[in-house]
Amino acid sequence: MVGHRLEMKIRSVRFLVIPAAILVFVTAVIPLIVLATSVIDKADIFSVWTHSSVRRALVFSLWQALLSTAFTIFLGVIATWHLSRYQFFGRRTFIALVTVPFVLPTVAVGAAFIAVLPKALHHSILAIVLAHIFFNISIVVRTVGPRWNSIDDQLIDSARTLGASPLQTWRHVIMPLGKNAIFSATALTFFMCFTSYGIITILGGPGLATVDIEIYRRAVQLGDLSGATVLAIAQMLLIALTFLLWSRSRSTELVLFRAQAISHRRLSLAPKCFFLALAAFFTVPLLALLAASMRTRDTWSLTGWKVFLGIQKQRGIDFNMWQAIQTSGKYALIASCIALPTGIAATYALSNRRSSHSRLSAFVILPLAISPVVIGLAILITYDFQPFDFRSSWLLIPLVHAAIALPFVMRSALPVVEGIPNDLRCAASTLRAGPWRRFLTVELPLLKPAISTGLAFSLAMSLGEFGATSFLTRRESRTIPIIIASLFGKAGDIPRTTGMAASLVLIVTTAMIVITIDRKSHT
Amino acid sequence: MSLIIDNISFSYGDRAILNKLSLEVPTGTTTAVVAPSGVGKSTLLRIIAGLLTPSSGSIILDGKNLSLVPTHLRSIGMVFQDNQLFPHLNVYDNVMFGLRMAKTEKKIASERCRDLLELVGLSQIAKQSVDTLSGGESKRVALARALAPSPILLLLDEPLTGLDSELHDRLAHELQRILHATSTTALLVTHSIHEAEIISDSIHHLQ
Amino acid sequence: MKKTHIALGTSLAMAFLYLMTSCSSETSTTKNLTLIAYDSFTPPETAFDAFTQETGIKVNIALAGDAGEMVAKASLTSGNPEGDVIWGVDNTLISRATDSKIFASDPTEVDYGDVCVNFDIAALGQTEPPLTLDDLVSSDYKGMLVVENPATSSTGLAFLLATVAAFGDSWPDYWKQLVANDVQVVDSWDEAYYTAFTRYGGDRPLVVSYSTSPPAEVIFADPPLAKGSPAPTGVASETCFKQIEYAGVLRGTKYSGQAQQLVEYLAGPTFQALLPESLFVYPANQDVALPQSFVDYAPEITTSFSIPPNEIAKNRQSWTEQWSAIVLK
Repeated sequence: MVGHRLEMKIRSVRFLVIPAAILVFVTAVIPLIVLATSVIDKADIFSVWTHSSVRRALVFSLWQALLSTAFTIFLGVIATWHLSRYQFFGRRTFIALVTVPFVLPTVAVGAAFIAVLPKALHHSILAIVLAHIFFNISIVVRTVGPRWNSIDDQLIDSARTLGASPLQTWRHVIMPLGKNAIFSATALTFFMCFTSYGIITILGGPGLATVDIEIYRRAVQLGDLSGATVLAIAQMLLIALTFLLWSRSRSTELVLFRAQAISHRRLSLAPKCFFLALAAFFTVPLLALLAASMRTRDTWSLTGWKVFLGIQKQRGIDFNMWQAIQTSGKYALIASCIALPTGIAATYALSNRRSSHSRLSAFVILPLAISPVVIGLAILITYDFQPFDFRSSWLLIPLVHAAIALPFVMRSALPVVEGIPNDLRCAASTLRAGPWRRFLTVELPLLKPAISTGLAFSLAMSLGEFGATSFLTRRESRTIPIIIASLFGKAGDIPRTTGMAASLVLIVTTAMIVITIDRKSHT
Repeated sequence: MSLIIDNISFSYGDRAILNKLSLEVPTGTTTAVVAPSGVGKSTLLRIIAGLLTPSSGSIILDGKNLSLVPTHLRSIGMVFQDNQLFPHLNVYDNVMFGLRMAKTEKKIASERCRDLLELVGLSQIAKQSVDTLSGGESKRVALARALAPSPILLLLDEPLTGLDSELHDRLAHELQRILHATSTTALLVTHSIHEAEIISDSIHHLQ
Repeated sequence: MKKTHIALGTSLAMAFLYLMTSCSSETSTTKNLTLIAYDSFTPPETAFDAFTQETGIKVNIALAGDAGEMVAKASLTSGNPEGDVIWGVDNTLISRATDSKIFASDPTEVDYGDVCVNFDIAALGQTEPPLTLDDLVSSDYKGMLVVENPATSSTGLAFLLATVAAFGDSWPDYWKQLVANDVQVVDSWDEAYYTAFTRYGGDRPLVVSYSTSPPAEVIFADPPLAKGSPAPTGVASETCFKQIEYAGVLRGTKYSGQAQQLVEYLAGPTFQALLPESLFVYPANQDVALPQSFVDYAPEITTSFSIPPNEIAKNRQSWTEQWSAIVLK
């Protein structure tokens, strides 16, 4: 009887995917179709590939992404294993810390890396790979972590008693159990590296371009919107395909939800050194940035900070920091309010249907997969007629922010939603609790980790103004990343130190938000 | 191949869980340690298996002191209370696991695997996935899996706890039969004297 | 249950759409004008107060990315623009803008500036600062110059155009000489200025920047420069390319009369006086007096190179590609 009811419930929640579908349609699919049909010149579908700059961009995108992904996954897997199974000082903070770079504006991070790296390495593939690791390691930690965290200690013990050495346990138990999560993390990491824009712009040498950069040049500088759109669509299809192939879920996999205490085993020396090195990797650039914000040539000075905080007025620099914070904050909150329920609802719709999971993964990644330039332009020409003239709507930017955060909200919600044992739902229903009540009293508390991680991601991504919205016209007052960019566009000591101060504050604020929300939740 | 537990003590923080425990399990026999819950029975098994280090005392198996020997080299099998079957492997592969780790030759391994599955009465469901098994079936797979690599010693943690009473007695007798048929040296912990009496040859009470 | 959910979902979606549409401005007599500008358009906050006082209209600034992005978007939305007035279409982009007919009427020149080679006086020490483009290829300045990539930087593009204007068809030879003289290339102005320029810890005392960079260095010096001391940087005054920026009413705006008033205000003395020390450009309006910092520290540029806008538009891509082939290899 209960089983039958459960089956009915599974079928009837499919509609929960509708808000997510609407969001992606409105922000990406429809605009792209409109753009494609209005600007693409059929000849360009083939001729755009004949440009040597396009081919070079494609080749470069591919190999730097593969290299970056390989290193990120390698280091990420090692870090994730220890983070998900050992208790050590600062563990939860470390997990949150590792997520922060992911959502930082590249303007700020670029400044930090340049401050820290020796001159010779400023334009090198090493710098690019390092920066990619910095940004994307959290993908591995957050995708594979929950999976490994849920492995019962005793399962490992049983492997030991069956004669498996640590290496064999790793190979035959731990990796197979993490395989899907690792595939999934690899796909997402590859995608982030492939579509990397800011990092390549700042740390790549002149002439180095990824496909996204090439799309930008075609669209903006050369006025070749047709070619740019063709490239953007091709890239989008490639990414979606990668996701479809790599995000398979196996039906035999059970993710057991355990609010289990992490093993009290202590870390041995080698992992400790590894984490120290990793922690340094994340904090040293920030310290370099702090130093740079207070240093002018040979003297130390707090002028940059004073101007930033409004304590000191500077002729030629005039911005309202508090208003910028308000604007950024407003966008971030609204974006999160849209992204969270939409994402969690969609996860519910999928949680028991493995086959649709990879298809939806590929679908929600679209707003991220399409070049920001193209999305910006597409939205511009799509929503420009009454009564659908949304171009001037204040809601547009948070909406696009939400669309971009959506895959991350879903990704963090999935293991949690799936881990809620069905017996809990059955038990609640036998207590005559209707589905809403059941949800609010039983499931919502269990969803807290998903909600907080999702919230942290959407807030931080919005604050850093990720991707697509960089190309939308902003009508409210300036946001913080824009203020930083225009400060760096002026010559002189003070704009520079003020810009660095602003970058540091943005980074630290974002970090604090992510860390606080995250720590409260767990793992 | 006897097991000697020599003056094992273990404390968690300042709470003493085991205090100078000594015990001997003669070769080929089954000994039960009976004690109420929470007294340290599982801890004892974990120490013997090498998953925990005792504060003092030693484990001697077949004349060899196991103090510095890591778990995977001790040749001590264990059946866990909640079975701990590998979710990503089917029944057959679960049982094969220990044999694969020992790099046993394929033909010999598969023969042993089949023999054990037959011994526990599960030959028909060899290819089934482990999340569809009943309580009793899971326990039997766990047992077959632990026995497959022919361990010198087999540890059983509350093997019948949690199974419904009908299954209980039946499985208890089966367990006794299987252990006897394979001449396994075994140590089991339980809170039920009744269970201990059916399965084991000697009983030791723990304070 | 399923049906109720569908109904609920649909009504939510409708409410959502309604909310979004009702937020766009639909007033026929307007009290608001939208001015589209690039991200680094940073006039003081009170810049439009006089206009609002006079006309009762509030000016909302919409930031549309960098100049290139701004024009790309304007071209795409020609006839149905995102705003009423646009500021900051420069002479390298004006041709594209007019071809796409983004303006309702002829655009007005609002400011100008020069892109020139700047030098760090202290870092040059005893070496005589360069004056002309030819100077830059002499061995005296080997390994001293950093330029920006014209494909990624408007400053770099301007410098390339200066060399095209100066040397005509043999401009590639000039660049081959620069390469032989160990010129460094970076992707953006801020990288050139803040990372490669000696004044900020780099190793290149010569950088392609603006003629208004020296006064900026003075205004923004920290600690402030002693009264009467010269600017720390100077400009090679015969290496300059003139950049001119335009503003205009966008075709398709519903409020062309008021938009025209705004354009006049932008070109008028009140607003133009604010330009030098906020945007670091020269006001197009010749009646406006320059601030003291400019009088004291901004170099006199009497000759600068220029190329007709439509020629720029026509050849820009091929020049850039040719440049890449020579310089970036």
